Amino acid sequence: MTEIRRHGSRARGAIFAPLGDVGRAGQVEQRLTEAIRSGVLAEGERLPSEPELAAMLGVAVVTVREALTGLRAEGLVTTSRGRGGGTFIAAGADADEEALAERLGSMSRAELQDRATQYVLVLAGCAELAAERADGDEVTALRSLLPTEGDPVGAWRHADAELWLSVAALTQSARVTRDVVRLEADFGSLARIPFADPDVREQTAHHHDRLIATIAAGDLEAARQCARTHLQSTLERVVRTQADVHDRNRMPRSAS
Amino acid sequence: MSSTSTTVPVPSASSLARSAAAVAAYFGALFACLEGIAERVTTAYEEQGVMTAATVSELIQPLAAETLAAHPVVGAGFVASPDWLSDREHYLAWWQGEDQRLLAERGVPIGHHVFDYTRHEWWQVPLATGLRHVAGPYVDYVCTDEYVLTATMPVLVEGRMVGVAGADTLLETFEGLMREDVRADDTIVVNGHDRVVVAADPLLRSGQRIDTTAYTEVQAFDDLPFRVLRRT
Repeated sequence: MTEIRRHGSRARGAIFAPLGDVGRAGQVEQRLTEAIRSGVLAEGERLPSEPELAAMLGVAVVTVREALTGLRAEGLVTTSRGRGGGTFIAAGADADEEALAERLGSMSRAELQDRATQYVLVLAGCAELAAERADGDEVTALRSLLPTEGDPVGAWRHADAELWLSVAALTQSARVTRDVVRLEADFGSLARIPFADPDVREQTAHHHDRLIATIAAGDLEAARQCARTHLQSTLERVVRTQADVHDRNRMPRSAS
Repeated sequence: MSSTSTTVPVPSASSLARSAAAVAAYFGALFACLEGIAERVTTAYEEQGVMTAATVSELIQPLAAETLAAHPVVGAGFVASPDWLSDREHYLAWWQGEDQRLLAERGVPIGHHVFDYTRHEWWQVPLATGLRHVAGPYVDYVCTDEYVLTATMPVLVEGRMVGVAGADTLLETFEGLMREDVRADDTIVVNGHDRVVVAADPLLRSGQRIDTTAYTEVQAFDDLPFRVLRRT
């Protein structure tokens, strides 16, 4: 019999994988901070308990406690006691527009264009294959993920991310899906910066409907085109935002 | 989501018999293990009344380890119905990977606030039918990040589903186990959505939807949503 692979989860597994020996509390704090900022760990989500986290990360409970104290101080998590208590990802922890702008500003224009090209290419390809391969039940499942008008921007971003992840899964390729998980963890929070604008959300809602309709119709070309058009128009806004941030950052120096 | 578990008598010496027997044997043995998990939960609940995440984990861990040792699966355990445990809304007493890591609570990697597993086929079908089910092949981006078949059976207490006992098998593992028999019979195993699970024809991709009416020889299973097909 062929060798049996027994991989654990990669996306989440990477967050909770055992750490090395040195500077552990700082490492735990840094890893969780990145996961919260990028939305991998979502607002309102309960973290595993301290002993569970310690077991998952391969560190002492006291190390986890130290890291959580740091996260609390930064306002990224909140802790409540008693039944139903625990440590939760704080509201707005991921939707810090300033932090997002800062990340965007630290990136070169060339890097942003490079990442945007990869993002559009991969997701448009996913939409095309999803149109070929999805059945009616799966289309219904996609619809159930759609954000609603009144959702706050954080919930909106998560819903949009999960929609694209589900579209990726419809390719029936685990590798492609893992690539998309990685892209989203790396770049997804930047790609969704424009959702802070309600007009963009409204426009995106139309694009979502149209994308799902093309997938339901099994129209490969239309699904690809729809995904491309939507993602490009959103990413153009990201590029413009980056240019503004770069201008703003340069100004104090040019004034002096 | 449809479960087309039909009852067709097994004709002896059918040309599909070898493939059908291989499929039935694999899942028969796996579900026997899952029944053990389900019984353990039911018995403990009847004795103790209230269950916590810790109690249920302690209870299931040795059985999940046995399942992982005895079958070529990547994960196994028990997933609780929302609000059934006294201290957690969503909980997976589920172990997976070489290191048999506990999943506990999960969020979708980049998704919603809570991982609401109740909308997934492996949960929905046992809930709707009260019967065992095999979901997939599908890309499970929440737990394994792999292309898998998920076998689940409802755990019932006084007629109410309090969770499911289940196990994930990589599609590639299942394909490896079935290949010889499917090739020998020249058959296709399809799931309840008429998607290919494994086929003799190498050009039929796993997950591909096919027109099953083109196949004249059909073998269904009493308790699996699969069928074995062959052109005469």
